[in-house]
Amino acid sequence: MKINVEITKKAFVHNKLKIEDLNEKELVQKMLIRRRLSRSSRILINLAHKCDFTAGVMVYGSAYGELIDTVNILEAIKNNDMVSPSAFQNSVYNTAASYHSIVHGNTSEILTLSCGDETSYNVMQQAALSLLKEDEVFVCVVEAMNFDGVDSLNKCANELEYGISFVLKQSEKEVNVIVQNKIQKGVPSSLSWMKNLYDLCENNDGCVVEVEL
Amino acid sequence: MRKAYINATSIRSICGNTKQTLDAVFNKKSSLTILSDVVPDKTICIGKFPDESSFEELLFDSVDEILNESNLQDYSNTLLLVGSSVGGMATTEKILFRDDSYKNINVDSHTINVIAYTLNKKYNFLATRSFSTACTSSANALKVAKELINVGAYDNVLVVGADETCSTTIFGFSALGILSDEVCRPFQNGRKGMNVSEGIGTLLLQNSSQDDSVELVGVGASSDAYHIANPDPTATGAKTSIGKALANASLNPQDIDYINAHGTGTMANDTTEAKAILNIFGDQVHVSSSKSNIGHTLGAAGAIEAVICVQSLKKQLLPPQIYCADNENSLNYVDIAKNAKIGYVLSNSFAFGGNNTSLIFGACLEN
Repeated sequence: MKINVEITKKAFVHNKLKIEDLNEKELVQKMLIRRRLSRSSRILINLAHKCDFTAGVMVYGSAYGELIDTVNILEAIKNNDMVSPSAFQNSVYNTAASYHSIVHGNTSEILTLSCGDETSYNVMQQAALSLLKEDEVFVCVVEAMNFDGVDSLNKCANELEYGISFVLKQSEKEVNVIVQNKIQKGVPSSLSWMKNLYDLCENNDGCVVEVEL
Repeated sequence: MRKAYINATSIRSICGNTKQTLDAVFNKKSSLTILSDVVPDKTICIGKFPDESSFEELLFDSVDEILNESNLQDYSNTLLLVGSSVGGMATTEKILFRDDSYKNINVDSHTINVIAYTLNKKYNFLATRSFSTACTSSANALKVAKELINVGAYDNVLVVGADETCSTTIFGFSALGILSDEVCRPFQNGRKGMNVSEGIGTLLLQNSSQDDSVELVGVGASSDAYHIANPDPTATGAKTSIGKALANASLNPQDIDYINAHGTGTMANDTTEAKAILNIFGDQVHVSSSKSNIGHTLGAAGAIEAVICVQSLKKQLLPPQIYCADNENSLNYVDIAKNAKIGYVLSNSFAFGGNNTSLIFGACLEN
């Protein structure tokens, strides 16, 4: 079963090491919440702002989840130190999407997928299913991998912080882009499908893509 | 709209295989263990699989059992949906703590997706997808399975909820101060917290019924938008997910005969969940939590507890709660397994981030 999906808004941020100026002070005014945000949360909140998304159904994806907080916990256990309760709370895969919901009071359904290299395509599939009931769905995929020790693992030389988001609606219009999932230098494979789609739509405001449920 | 029928189920838990686990649940037995040598200077009560089999072997056993029980020859026309909170974390820890280095860790074996990848390599599914919303992971996988079957996108969907105990979750929940040193006592006065555990719950959903099918009739989800780890004490999010599931099933609260509660044994969860149940259903509906039997299996809990709900409907038997002598509230806890006319049952799952999912199962009217 296939659905035609129109991209109505899009945003993209990335950096080899750490994305500067995510504008957290303006976007998250409560200091207590802002201080606790994970890197993925900061990236997602920035992307959502760029897409004017505050409330509604969200489908979020990340292959590696909250690596920085996970490593913080693992190092504490390894060194017989106390595990930080904040790091543990922030270590689940749905952390970024949850912080966005807390910041904006969004009580809608939020799903988080983690599907390896297929993550961003599977996020689009889940969003397409949601669009059968919802007028609009926000999708976002993020990898934030800049932790001490990442050099020994990052064999593909991926950029360490990367995020892409779209606001989607179901469309009666004809498909006008076909995504070929090309490998792109520096782009984490988990985000590759959506990055290829983003590139095709960068200068096209009425981008319609077919997504199989 | 096509209906979603549950046609085969299996469990691997700390109590054993499907039969052993259901025997434990319906007969008030627990396999949780009190340990003093895991967290320094602390006694904790947690759940661990019996030593005979590896996690991977148990996964394969569970999926093989479904194949034997179902009308499928293989999984080539079946979508696999996995729900897991920690994925391959136990493997990562083993290598890191042995080598004191990340160098030998295969990052793909660390992720949530390793479970779907491992299963797909052996069984060659039509496609796979993995959900990770902490303790609602496999409940959300079940919700999506129903929705995909309803719209006719797939004929067969296998849902696997699977999580393995690891140091990260044990030390993490310990750091939050909510790990009990005794078998958890959900909804009881003086309860001391939860028991981290491990398990695998597997359910085959299909678009056609069999003789003993149970239907997944309603699903609902919401976000608390309140706190990253604590539930909203007004229970608004929990009430919303339950309300959405009722609406999705076109049922009224009085149609629900039994609720398998999330009931973790923590102060915050149980007080909030009880408030939601009392508000929507009053104090007559039968309620129990299975966490004292099998522990809190995190991302697997939704699937395992769904299997318990399915069995409850098939046997027309209410699953009891081990402890219900000192209740904090006026809910109608099931103190002993008893036969009852059970038409519909509700299962709640709540997670970090304020992620709430409710599922309603119904006796299959076609049978």
